[in-house]
Amino acid sequence: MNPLAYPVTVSHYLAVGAVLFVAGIICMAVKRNALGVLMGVELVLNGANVNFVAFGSRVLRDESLGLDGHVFALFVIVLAAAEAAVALAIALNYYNNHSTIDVDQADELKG
Amino acid sequence: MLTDPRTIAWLGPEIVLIAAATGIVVAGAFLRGSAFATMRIIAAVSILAAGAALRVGEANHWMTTETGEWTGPLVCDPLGFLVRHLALFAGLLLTLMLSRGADERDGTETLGLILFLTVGAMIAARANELVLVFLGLELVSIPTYALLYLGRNDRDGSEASAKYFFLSILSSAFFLYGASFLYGIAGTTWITAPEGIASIRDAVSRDPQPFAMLGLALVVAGLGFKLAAVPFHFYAPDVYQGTNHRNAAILAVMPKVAGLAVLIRLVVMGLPGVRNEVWQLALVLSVLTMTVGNVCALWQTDLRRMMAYSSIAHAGYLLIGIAVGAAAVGDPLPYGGVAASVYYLCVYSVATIGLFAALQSLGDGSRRVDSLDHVAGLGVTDPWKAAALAVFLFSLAGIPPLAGFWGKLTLFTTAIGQALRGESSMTPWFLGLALIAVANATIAAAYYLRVVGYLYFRTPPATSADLPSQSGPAGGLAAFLAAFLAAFLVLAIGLHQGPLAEWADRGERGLRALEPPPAAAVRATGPQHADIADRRGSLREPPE
Repeated sequence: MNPLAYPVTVSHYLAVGAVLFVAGIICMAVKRNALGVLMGVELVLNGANVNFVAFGSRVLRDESLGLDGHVFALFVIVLAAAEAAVALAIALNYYNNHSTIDVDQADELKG
Repeated sequence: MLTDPRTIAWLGPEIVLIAAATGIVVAGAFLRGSAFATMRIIAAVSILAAGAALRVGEANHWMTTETGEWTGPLVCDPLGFLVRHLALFAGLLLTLMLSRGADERDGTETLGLILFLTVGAMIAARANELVLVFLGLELVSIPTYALLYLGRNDRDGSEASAKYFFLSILSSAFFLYGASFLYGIAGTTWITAPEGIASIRDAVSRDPQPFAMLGLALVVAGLGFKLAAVPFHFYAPDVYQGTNHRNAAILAVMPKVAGLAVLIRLVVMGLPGVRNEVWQLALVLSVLTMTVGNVCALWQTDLRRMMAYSSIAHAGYLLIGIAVGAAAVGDPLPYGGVAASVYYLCVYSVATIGLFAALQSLGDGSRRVDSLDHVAGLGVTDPWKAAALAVFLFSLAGIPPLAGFWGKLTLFTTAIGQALRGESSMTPWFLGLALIAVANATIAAAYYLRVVGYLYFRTPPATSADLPSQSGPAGGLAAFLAAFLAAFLVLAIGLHQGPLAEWADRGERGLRALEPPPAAAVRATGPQHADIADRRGSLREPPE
C-alpha cells in the first residue's frame, strides 16, 4: 500500500495545526528576543487558524455548514495584524528603556 | 443563516460609543493641548447617551416578558443588559479618573481607547457566537496593550506592558485553539440556538467526545487569564505594580467583566454536555485562586501589588458562582450560582475602580501614592479621601453593611445550597468550597484592615520631602468625583441591595429560559418557566 495514496482527511490538517501550535508555544517559551517571541505568537494563532479552515472545509467534510470557519480565520488574520502593530510599538518602547530587546532583562518587578 | 435584522438595531449603544471614540481619536490628532477637557466631556456624554440608547432600544423586547428571546449572534437578555450597564458605568468612572497632568499629552487617545474597550466588554457580554465572543475579548485586550504603553513610559512601565502583551496574546491563542475544536464538533459557531438549529450546545450535549474536553480545557485556560485565575495569574502583580492607578483599575475590572460573561455564556450555558467537568474544573480553580491570592497579598507593601493579589482572590470568589451554576445546569431548580457571580462582579468592580480612583486623586504633583507608607495618617491629612478608601476596603473585605458583604453572603449561601440540594456526590465538594471561601474571607480581612490601620492609626510622614517626587499623573477633582460616585454606590447597594440582586436573578432566569426545557412537566406548565414551587414536585434527571 502506498501511504501517499490515502485520502487527506481533517485529521491530517489537525496534526499540522497542533504542530504549529506547539512549535509556537515552544518558540514563545525559549526565545529571548522579543521579536522571536512575536514570531511564536504568529505560529500559535495560525495553528488555530489551520484548524478553523480544515473544520470548515467543504472538501474535507460533507456535513460542513457554511463559511463560519473561513470567516473566523479571516478575523483572526486581521487581529493578528493589529496585534503585531501594537507589539512592535511595545518592543520599541522596551528597547528605548532597556537598550535591548532581550525579554529576560525584564526582571525588575517582583516581590 | 438566520440573522434577525433587529440585531443591528440592538447594537445602538455600541455604535454610539464607537463613533464617539473614533471622533475623539481623530479630532485629537488635530487639536493638541487644550482639547483634553472638552474631549473628556464628550466621552462622558457619549457613555451616558449609550446608556440611554441601551434602555430605549431594549425596553420593548424583554422588559415586559422578563425572560429574553433568542435572536442569533447577539442575545438580548437581562444578563446582557446588566453586564452592559456595568461596563458602561466602569467606562464612565475610568473616563473621569483620567488625570490632567500626565495624561494630557495622550489624553484623547487614552479616552478613545477606554471607549473602545468598554465596547469590547459590552459585546462580549451578550455574544452568542464564537467570532463575536473572540472579537469582544480582543476589543478589550488590544486597547489595554496600548493603554499600558501610554500610561507609563519608564523602565517598569515598558516591562509591564511587554509582560502583559505576550501573556495575554498567548491566552487569546489558547482560547482560539479551544474554540476551533468546539467549532469542529458542532460545525457551527453558534453557542446556543433554538431546537432544530445546529449549535455548539446541542452538538456537545449529544456527543460529549474527548475533543469537547480539550476545547473546554483550552477555553477555560484562555478565560482564566482574563479573570486572573491561578495558575494563569502570575502576570498580574508585576503588571499592576509596573503601571499606574488608572491602568491597574482597567486591568482589574474590564477583562474580568468580559471574561466572566463569556465564561457564563460559553462554558456554563453552552457546554451542558460536559457539565461535570466544568464544575469540577471551576471548583478546583476557585479554591486555588482565592487561597493563593489572599495568602500572597498578606505581606505586600506596594499598594497596587496588593490590589493585584486582591483581584486574583476575587476572581476565585467569582468562580464559586460559576462552579455552582455549572453544577446546576439542566436542573429545574435554579440555585442562583450565576446570579451570585454576576452580583459579586458588579460589587467588586465598583469598589475596585473607586479604590484606584481615590488613590489617583491623592497624587497631586508633589506626592506619589504607591506604597502603604504613602497613605499613612491620611485620616488626619485628608479625611474625605481616607473615608472613601476605607469604604472601598471594608466593602472588598466583606464587612456588613457594605455591598461586598452581600456579594460574599450570596456566593457562600449558593455554594451551601448546592451542597445541600444538589446530587449527593457533590455535597462534600461544595461544603468544602464554602468552608474554604469563608476561611479566605477571614484572611482577606487581615490585609484590607491593615491598610485601614495605616490610614487612621499611623502618623503621617513628617515632611513632604520624605515622599518620592511625582512622575506619574497627578490626581484631580474628576478622579475624586469618580471615587465619590463609586463610594456612594457601594453604600447604596449595601443598604438597599434589592434592585441589583433582582437584576442578577433575572439574568440567571433569562439564561435558563433560553435553554430548552429539561422536563416535559415544565413544558406543560408554562411557556418559559413555571414557578419554582411548581417544579419542586417534578424534579427530573437533567438531559443527557
